[in-house]
Amino acid sequence: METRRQKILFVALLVLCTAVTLFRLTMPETFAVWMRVMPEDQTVIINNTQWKKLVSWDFSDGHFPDAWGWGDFDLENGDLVLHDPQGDWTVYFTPIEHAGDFILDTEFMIEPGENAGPQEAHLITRDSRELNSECGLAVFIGDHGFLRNTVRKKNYFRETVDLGQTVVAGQWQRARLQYLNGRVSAWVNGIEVPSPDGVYPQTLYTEPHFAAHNSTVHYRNIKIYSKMRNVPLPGRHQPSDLLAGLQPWRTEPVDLPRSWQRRGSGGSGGSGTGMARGAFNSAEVSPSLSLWKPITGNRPQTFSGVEPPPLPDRRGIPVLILKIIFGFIIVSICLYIIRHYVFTINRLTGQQRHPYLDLDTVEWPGVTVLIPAHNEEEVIGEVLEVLLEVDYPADRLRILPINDRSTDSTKEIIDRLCAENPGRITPFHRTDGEPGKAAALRDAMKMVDHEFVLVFDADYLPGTGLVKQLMAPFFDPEVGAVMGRVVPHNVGTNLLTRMLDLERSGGYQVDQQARMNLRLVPQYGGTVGGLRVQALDAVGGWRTDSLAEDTDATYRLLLGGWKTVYQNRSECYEQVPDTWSVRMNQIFRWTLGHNQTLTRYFWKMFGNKRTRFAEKVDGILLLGIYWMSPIMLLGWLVGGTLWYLGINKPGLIIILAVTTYSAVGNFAVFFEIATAAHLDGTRGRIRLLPFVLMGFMVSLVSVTRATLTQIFRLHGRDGIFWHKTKHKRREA
Amino acid sequence: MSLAFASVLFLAVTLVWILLPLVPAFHELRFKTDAEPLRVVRRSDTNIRHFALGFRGFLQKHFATHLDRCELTDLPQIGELTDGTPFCVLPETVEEPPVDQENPSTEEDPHLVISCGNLKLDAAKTYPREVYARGSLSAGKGASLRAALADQSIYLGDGCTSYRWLHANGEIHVGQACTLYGRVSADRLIKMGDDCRFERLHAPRIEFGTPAAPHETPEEVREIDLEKLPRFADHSADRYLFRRQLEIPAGGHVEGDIVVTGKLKIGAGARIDGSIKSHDDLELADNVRIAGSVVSGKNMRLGEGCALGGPVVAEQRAEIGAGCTFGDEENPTTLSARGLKIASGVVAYGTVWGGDS
Repeated sequence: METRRQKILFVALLVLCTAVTLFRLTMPETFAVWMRVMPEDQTVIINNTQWKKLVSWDFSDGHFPDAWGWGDFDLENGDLVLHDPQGDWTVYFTPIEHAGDFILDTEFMIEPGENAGPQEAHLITRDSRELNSECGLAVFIGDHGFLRNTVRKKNYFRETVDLGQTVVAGQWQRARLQYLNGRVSAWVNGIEVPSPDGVYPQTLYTEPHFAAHNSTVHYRNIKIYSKMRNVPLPGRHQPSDLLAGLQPWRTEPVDLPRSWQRRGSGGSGGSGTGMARGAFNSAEVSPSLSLWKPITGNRPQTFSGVEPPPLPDRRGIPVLILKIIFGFIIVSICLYIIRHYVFTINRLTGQQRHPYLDLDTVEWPGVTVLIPAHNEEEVIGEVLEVLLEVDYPADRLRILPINDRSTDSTKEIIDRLCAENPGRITPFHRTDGEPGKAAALRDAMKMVDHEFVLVFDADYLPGTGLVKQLMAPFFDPEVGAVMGRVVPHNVGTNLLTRMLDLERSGGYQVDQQARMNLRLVPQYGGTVGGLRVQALDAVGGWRTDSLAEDTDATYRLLLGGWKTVYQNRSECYEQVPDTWSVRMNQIFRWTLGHNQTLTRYFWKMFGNKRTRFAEKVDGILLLGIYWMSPIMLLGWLVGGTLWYLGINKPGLIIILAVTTYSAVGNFAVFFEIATAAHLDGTRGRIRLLPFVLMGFMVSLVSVTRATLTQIFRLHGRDGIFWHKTKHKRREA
Repeated sequence: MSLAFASVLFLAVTLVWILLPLVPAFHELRFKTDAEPLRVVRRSDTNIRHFALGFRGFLQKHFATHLDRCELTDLPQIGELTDGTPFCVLPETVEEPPVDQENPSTEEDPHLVISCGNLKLDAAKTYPREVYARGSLSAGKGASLRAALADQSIYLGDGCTSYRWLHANGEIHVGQACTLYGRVSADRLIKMGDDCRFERLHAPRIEFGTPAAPHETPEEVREIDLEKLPRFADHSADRYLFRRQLEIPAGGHVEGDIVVTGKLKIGAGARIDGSIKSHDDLELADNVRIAGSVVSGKNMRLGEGCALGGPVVAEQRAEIGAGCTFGDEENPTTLSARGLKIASGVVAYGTVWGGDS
């Protein structure tokens, strides 16, 4: 039932994600903004294009819009006033953050002043807050202006053009800026500004905004339209055609506001030049949008000459939380990328540690070799025969096969070999007790009277020198466990086995050996390895409630101040899974075990005085690796959510994309596996690297499924039993 | 170029770009050019006699008849193997390889030299192929050998060099300032002269220089309560764990294993009935006795007259003082370091490894 419920859950999730994505893709470019601020549907068709009104402000209600900018700006007498009389910096004001193709209509008035430089009003769009490029219209007092085009930061292109009219200080002017299909056009009082090069970089992110430089500029009747769709209309229409049809410009002299006098502005404005209020098409003007929240403080600070810090996003705590989560995910992914690189580069260029490899003339201690077996009639005989021939003093080597309630002929095979080799094999036929490999090992330990045990699964074939190689590190009094290298034997069976061969190669040849080199935390893997019995007993022996008794033992030994040593040249063949279902179950089990160990020992690692800081970090990263799959999926989900919420910062998406790709793609993992194959001298199989991505996807699903299962406690104690792969007899 | 065409072209190029790496991948998957399991060493190759045994098998295969006819002739047999390797088989009565009459001043003898009895190699001459003596083999001063096997003993004069391996069923005596690359093994004794360099030695007894007189074991030692020493961290499984550093006072006696996460110093005459390990440098003063193994994560410095019973591992360099002994005749052991500097008078029973020693 659980499996069925999980399947339904995952399919539903998949369908939901697909639907939302399709929905998002079919929406107009300004979906996020539209969804947030526009309850009414006001559209207008201009030159074959239907535009939707996004913003319409007259500031008559005295509310400041929920917008952002920097510098000194405020509302005065119903006008938006941008104040930069000394030209310290360009004050700007941004009504919306993302508009795609847009039209910006407004009225503006430059206050009269006595400044030396040109007094300017700007209508500008740009592609990011970082000012990587911006493009727009600048209008000076007088009869000229310029179109500016910055395709790279600090690389302005400014070409002064004749506006064809005189812009008088203290008079209201009307202007329009249009960004459409990568071109910027501008009009002042209905007359198009000549554009030598209005081409603007195509970008997902455009940001219409107003600015003032070396002047104080008033804006009012601000309207912003965003492109909805193209509308086929007969004939060729230019934007200027439509503008030409608008009402002619009218000016009405008015008194200067007192605030101007307070600032002491002189010039033509000081002489009482009246203001002019243009007449827009009244049908386009709407009441101020009630959804815009008034500012209740927190106004940007005035600055001078120094770029201010980024303004706070005022979209609420949920977005902030999402951003924090997103940041955490990015940092986590980057950590693992760095880890991969450090390990790989260490293997390529670092000093390799094999300190115990040379110990061949010593008084070898007694050792018991444990071989847990549950229905292993196909392979148990072979491993026992091989062990009988290993190069180790026979009087100090005890072979102890653990026949745990096998229902096939495992028992008979063991007994026969025992009879044929008297004194060499001590069988342990387990007929009751707790299920599971850990419980079997725990019970078998009662029969062990040596200081050390080695463990081999029944399908492993140790070489003649392997027992000595695995025993050598135990002469180091700090070593609690030893791990050898597992090498797939059935490599050529199918794509899966070939991929697992690459993965194992990367995992052992690079990961484990690098951890050995760097004195971090090599992992005892439960087979092709051994343990110091006293050390294991000191940290609690085999834990039968553990889903991964080997990982659990590694960490308990670590916390107890015992080291695990990896012997890269102590190799042993294994049969890797050759079907995807078995592989997925294997990953499922490993994930459960790792996560369980992580939850058990995470906090204990921090306060432990027997481990070094580097071991703590590596130990946590090693256990946390199975969390990276769900974290990565969560990253995609959070990134998408932020996108839908209008936090359309391509940077965030790109960061996640790059880091994810680096984690799974050709940078980190590919590099590691290719390095492992290179070190193994098996370069031909490097060609299979692109398939590793497929294996990653399978792992992503399996690990996430296991993690979610564990989080929601769908996996109880009933999960502890003999997890085994059906082993087949090897070819001769 | 229309926008639609450009889009299609872009997509097509992108698709090709993505699929390109899959071409060799599918080729490898289909034709399996590298799908064999990684070759695992099934039999241990750490046996120091590995090459000597291989060479003996080679002799048996190619020179069995020559060796059987040793007594039948008094003349060297010179010839070539099928692969073009020149050889020279000397009878028991001839101890020196014949001189090349065409070029008597040559400094290199290209032959694979096989002697039915004792063999004497010229001084300052190079033997780029293996050398075998059914009796003893002696090389003159400054001779260079690729590899040598002797059924009795090998005597190398001063300044000799061996490049691959040496093995003697009896003893190996090495003169001063010799350089021995690769493996050197003897079934009874290796006696090294002063200022020699080597990589790996193995024999029941290895003497460096002149054996020193045995140091007297201190009569009185006093028990040390390790748990009362500073920076004690843990005692479990008969192992004492210390953080940062530890110094065992002179004449102290400790039972159990000691692990220190920093430097470890053991005072003169101390006795440890267990093993010791330091993550950092390890220093033993004179006459220290350690029953178990000694492991240092970095450098190791042993004073004079130390006696170590178990294996000794230094991950970096080790300096061994005069008169130290490693193992004994009943319990041979291994001394291993990335670099070794051994004073005269040291005796090791078993194996000595030194990367640059």
